[in-house]
Amino acid sequence: METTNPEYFENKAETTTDRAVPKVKGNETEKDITETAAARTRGRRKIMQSIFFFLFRGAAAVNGIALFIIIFFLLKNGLSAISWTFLTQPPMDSMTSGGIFPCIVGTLCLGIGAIIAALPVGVASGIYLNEYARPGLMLRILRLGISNLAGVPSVVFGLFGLAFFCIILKMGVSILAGALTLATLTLPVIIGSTEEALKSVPDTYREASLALGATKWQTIYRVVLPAAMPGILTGAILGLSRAAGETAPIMFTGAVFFAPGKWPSSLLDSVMALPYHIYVLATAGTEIEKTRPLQYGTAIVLIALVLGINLGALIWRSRLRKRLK
Amino acid sequence: MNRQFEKTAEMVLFLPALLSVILTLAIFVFMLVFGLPLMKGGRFFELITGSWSPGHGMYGIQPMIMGTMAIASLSVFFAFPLSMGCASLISVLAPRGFSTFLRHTVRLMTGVPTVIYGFVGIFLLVPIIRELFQNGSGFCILSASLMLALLISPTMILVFMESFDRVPKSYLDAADALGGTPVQKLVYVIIPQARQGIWMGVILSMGRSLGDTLIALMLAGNAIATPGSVLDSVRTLTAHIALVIASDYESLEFKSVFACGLILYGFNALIIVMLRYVESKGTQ
Repeated sequence: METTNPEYFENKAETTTDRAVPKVKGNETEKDITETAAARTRGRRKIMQSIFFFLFRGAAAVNGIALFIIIFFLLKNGLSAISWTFLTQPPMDSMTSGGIFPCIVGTLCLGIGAIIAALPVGVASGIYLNEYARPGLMLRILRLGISNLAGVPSVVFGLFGLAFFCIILKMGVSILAGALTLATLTLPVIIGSTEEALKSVPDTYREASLALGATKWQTIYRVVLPAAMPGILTGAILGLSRAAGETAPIMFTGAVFFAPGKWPSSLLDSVMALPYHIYVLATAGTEIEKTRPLQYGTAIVLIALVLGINLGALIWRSRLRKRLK
Repeated sequence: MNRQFEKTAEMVLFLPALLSVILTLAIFVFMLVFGLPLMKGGRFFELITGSWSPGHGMYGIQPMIMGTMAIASLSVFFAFPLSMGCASLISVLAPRGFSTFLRHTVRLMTGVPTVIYGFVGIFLLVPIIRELFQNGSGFCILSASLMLALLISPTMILVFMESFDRVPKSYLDAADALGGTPVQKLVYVIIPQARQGIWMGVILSMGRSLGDTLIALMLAGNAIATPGSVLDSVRTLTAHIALVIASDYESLEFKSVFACGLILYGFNALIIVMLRYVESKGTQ
């Protein structure tokens, strides 16, 4: 407990309450008695303080340590597996050697496809909700629909995608079906970040433009959207990283255990994907032990990809926020 | 002409916004229509209370419902004290620089794909649980809910932090003026004030853990049985969906998966209703 932080608070607590309490010896006057009582309360308070600090620290430490262990564990076991061959070659010898190039390509195809499909719809929805919609029943319905969509478990999106895109629209297990499924999943994310970006544009911008005689649409298109664009794009990137990391929705709509060749040849091809690859190798593969290094390597690549995209987007966003202020 | 254009623009923007509502309804309708053969004629009750034995024509999903609830509630139980501590530390007790660092870390953690947690769980947590309890394979409710707790805690921490930050500064100043220590401020002022946010965090993360697939699929063992202890292996609804998807789209087994989807959809709707309720109580 001897770090800077609790001491700082304890000192502050003492200076803000009373002066230092003198040690009581011998015949106690009434004043002395109250002062011992005060000292006792203060002592108890100090103990409480340390106990609470200990608990809070402990909680944070458990989380932090868990995160640290996960990352350390992955790096320790998987770093040796990562090489140029691993990143640029397809799997060989029935998955026990070679690389994961097709998985990386597949994940990017699915993720980017999802964003291409979800971005226009999401941005338009965000604009409508923030700039046009008036309070009332319709807005309540829209909000309820979006928050419901945001909470639906990802595997249910997968089922929906399977039933609608794969079976009814006859797309089969393909990039197209997988990307569209992921698009429905990322749609609420994009709507949310678009709204947030639009809200951060000061109203004075809109007022100035309207005062110059611009129509509402001109104002949105020429003034509000350009100002909000970086925020909207950050949201899109965050959506991309979300889509790239999801496994359950693509399990039965877009991803397969093995796809031949390095590149998919059309949108109706099924692909390999990083998250699904990890899942299959770690649970259903025929030679789990033999593919261990490949699994760790794949996990590192996935986590680096997703967190890298995330980190980039977050840094960019905080920069933008500072500039707007 | 200009006015016409403005009207069209509004309409063109309205339709995508409506699409989300249509999608939500479409998902519901799909689950219902595809799962209907198993629910027709009052068999819905049979479905949610019966056991699973496709060989005997029994497609009950009661064990999976129990498994889902057990894992989700246990994970919230584990995650709550962790998140409470983290959120308190970050938004009240830690010095500014450290707190900003932690904030960013937590935000970043929400992005870790769940398959990573599942994967690490298989090779790190499951052997430990197996050694520790000397009971079974280690693929059990406990393993899954511990990992799940780690997955949902960033969400919980973020919601808690937001609600802590919303406590009016004047309240905090008053507590300071009365000579309260930071811990007293937290326990007597901030936490009671943030009660609504705390509930919302718990409900939201409950929703996340009910809906998570990969962790339960990889760590809970997937045995079809009503759980008796935390060391039992169970199968969640989500894992069931992932496992049963067969190539035969006409089989009843495949249809039952949509019934699972419907139950999950219902859980989500319930979560939304509870969130709305808590929210409305707070604003009154």
